[in-house]
Amino acid sequence: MSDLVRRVKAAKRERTAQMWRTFRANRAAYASLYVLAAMALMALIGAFYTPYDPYRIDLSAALGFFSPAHPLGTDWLGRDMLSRIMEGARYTLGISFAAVLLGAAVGSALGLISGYYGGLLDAIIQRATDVLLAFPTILLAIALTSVLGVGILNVVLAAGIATVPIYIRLVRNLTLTLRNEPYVEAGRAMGLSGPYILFRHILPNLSYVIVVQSTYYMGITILIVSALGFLGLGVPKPIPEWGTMIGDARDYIFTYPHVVLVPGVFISAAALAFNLLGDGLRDALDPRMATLLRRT
Amino acid sequence: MSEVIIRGRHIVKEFRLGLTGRLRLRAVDGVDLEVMRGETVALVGESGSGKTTLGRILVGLLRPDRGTVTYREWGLGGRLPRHVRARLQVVFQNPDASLNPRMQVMDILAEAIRAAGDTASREEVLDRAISLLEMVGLSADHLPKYPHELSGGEKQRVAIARALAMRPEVVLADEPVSALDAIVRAQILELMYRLQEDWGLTYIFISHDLSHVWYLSDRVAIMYAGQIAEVGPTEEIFREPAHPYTAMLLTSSTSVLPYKPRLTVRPVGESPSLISPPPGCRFHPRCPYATEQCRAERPELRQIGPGRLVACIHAEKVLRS
Repeated sequence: MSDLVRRVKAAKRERTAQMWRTFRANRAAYASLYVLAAMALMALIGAFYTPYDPYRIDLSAALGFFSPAHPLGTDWLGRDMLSRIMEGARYTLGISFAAVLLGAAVGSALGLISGYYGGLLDAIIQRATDVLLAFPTILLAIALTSVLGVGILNVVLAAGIATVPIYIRLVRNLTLTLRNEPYVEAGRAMGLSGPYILFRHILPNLSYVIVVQSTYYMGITILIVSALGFLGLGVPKPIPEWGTMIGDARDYIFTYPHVVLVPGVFISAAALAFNLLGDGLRDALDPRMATLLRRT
Repeated sequence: MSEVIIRGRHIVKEFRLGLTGRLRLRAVDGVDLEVMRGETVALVGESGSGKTTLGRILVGLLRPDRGTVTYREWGLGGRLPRHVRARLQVVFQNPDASLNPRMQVMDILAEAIRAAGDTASREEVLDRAISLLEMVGLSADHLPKYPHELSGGEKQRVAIARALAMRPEVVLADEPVSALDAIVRAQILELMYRLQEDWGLTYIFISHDLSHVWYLSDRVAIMYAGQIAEVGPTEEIFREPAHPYTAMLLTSSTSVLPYKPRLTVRPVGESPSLISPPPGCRFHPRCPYATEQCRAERPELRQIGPGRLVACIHAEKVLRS
């Protein structure tokens, strides 16, 4: 008897292990996991230790190229670029992460309700979504920051809210499909409650789409946060958020390109890594994919 | 045997189409049907004849727009008390979509067992899950499996076990074997037959395969374009169809049937649009017996023998020919 329970649990673990194997088989995705882990580590260390004070101005060392003393060079005020990248990592990555979390949570919740319950509520939510979707995400984020004002929390809000309509539409459409699945109808025939069916039968079957989409949006949101920083609408000035770094250095783009390229490379690398990670997760978490891969 | 447990009266169900919902598709149009305790009543018709919609309404999964459905002393259409809801269960056509792909057989059955209000102790749930699996010809070895690790037939057995977990009185089986291989079909039909014998289940059996209907059902309701063309004991309907459409169905059936159709009606035309159905009898454009009256008046279901109802003014002529 307890042997049977053990086998049920073993099968559950085996399924997780299988997902991990599928994920690892995608080399690019697996490698980007390391890239992102390294960046997260860098952000963590940057909070406690940087080689130089990232805010200390040393005009005698201004615009220095890569050197042993300054591995990533210095900017036009002589601030150490490596220290600034390390300091800025937790802003760029942290803000993007918080924004995606906000967008995914609010958007998915509204999408689920809208799709499952339908009716007037659905109509209201969808028309509002239509209005928001009419603007490109970046424009929406710019409009929101100009209303909310400059500040770290406001960047999170702006970038987060800007992605909400996309999540609403995505999750609603999936919910509409899933709520007519026979296993959902069977649940209704069993007298299971609406919220129970939503959380037990619908959400688990679309959560992987939310996760995958969120990793893609991490990439996009990093770009949005950077773009806001570049435009001077993002993180306020002395803070070396990566996009702000590029924006502040734009005068030197032709004369001392490394001042722009260094944060640019980090932004691109992070965005690319999240995209590749998303591809890997999609393959690993899709149950249909798992069967397909096992057959071949 | 003849105790009526589900009673449907003048059931109408419309689906709104188009942007503004101005187009209305009347899937079920004024249907009366009774289901007796312990019987199998088959709903037969072409796709789009409203048989699935009617089936769902009869077990309270869909609310009719007009008309009433009662199950014993409860009206279906609103929220049902849990113990009543449990007694009307479903088994669906597509076994791949009947089971949540993220749940193990154990979890699927445990959920149903708990929903049925049975004891929640883990050992008892496990015991009950195993006995349910054995009832449907599976074993405890299937408990750890995920749906994608099961064959189509096994999935359908699990779906049946899940329905049985609720201790139902009525099971709606919506084309339960259509998506399965031939041999598996026979096994599932046999299983359904045996379960009915053992547990006194009542089946509402939706099918378009007349040989399955012949095998499993006591009574048949032939549906055409959202209406009932003919109702009666399976044996009689197959031997002596009273509605020209029934005769056409029997004539065009590719399955092996017990009787060679005495009356052959060559299949012509297609089933009509449900958005703008033809006036009068909906079958008249395809019917060799159609007269002026058929084009003008909608025929009512009328009794032509014990337990036999037909919606055709020429039924006597059809029976005689």
